Amino acid sequence: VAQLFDESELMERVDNDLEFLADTVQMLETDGRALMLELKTAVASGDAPAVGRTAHALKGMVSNFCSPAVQTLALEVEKAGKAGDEAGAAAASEKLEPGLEALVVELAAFVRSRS
Amino acid sequence: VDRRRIVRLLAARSCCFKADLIAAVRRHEVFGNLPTVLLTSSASPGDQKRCEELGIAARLLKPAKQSLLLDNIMRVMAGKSRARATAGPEAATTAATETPANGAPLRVLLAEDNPVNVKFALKILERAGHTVTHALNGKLAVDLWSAQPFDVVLMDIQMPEMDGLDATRAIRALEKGRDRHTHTPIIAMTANAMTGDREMCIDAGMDGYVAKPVKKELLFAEVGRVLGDGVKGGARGAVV
Repeated sequence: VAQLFDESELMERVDNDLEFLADTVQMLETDGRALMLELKTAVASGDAPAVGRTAHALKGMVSNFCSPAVQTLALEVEKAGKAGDEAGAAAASEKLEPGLEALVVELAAFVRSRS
Repeated sequence: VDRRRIVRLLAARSCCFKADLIAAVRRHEVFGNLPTVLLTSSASPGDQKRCEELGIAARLLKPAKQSLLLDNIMRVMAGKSRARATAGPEAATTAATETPANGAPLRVLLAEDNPVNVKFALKILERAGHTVTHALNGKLAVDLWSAQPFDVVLMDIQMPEMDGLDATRAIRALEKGRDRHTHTPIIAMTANAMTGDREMCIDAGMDGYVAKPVKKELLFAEVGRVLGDGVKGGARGAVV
């Protein structure tokens, strides 16, 4: 199964600093999940501008971890939110949530394997 | 008296900015030159100056990482007056420990609300020897800009309370109101990928634009471009 992130690009990005990577993955786990929860709330309440803003924040956060696939999922939610497309935002966020979870799990496993 | 124990004691008790306590310690005949590390849960414009006045050698935002705290204590005990600090949830100033070997260190104002993005940006900038002050939102960035000089501002666009576009407009308006002409270069940092975003930033008064995730080569190239000069870590040829 292909990795959700580019391992070599990520290690270069963090200057091979595993402690730094572990810290930031931990932050993604807590803050990223919190943003995802916020996003789901915005989707459920039909607040399209909030959907766009939150997805944008998630996209920026995820982009640090060299995962274009998950970044694209967040972008799709952002686009739908900014376009006021509630149904599209709901559908896209349903794809983003498992994508983000999988990324967090993969990153955490990667950090453990290198520690 | 074990000086290192005193340092630990002060650090543990400084749960907020205890300027009076530290000033009292400074007046003591034995502890006047006591190396001091301040642990604080918040930061605001002017803290850095007050710390310097009180002879505080390092200021860390809580929760401070164990390794960072130890690193700072070791530096302070070794007699180095400036020490590393860490980014926290509120505004914080970090002072680079390395003397840049090539190019002048810059005073950078980093306006960014996302903690992960802050951490990555700090890593890039600190390694290049630049001094970074962090603002959690646009309003704090304007306040910090008003309170102290910066060579360049790195501005996120989407932030709570005041976004980067409004913060830039506010800074430009304040610049116009000043007696002497000043222009602090402002570079947008954004994860936007929409057409017209760059123009929107320039229209607000920004000088440059870098896309997220921020990459050090592109960041320093853009900083060098807006400053019209090479900078440490970038256009002068130094490697971060």
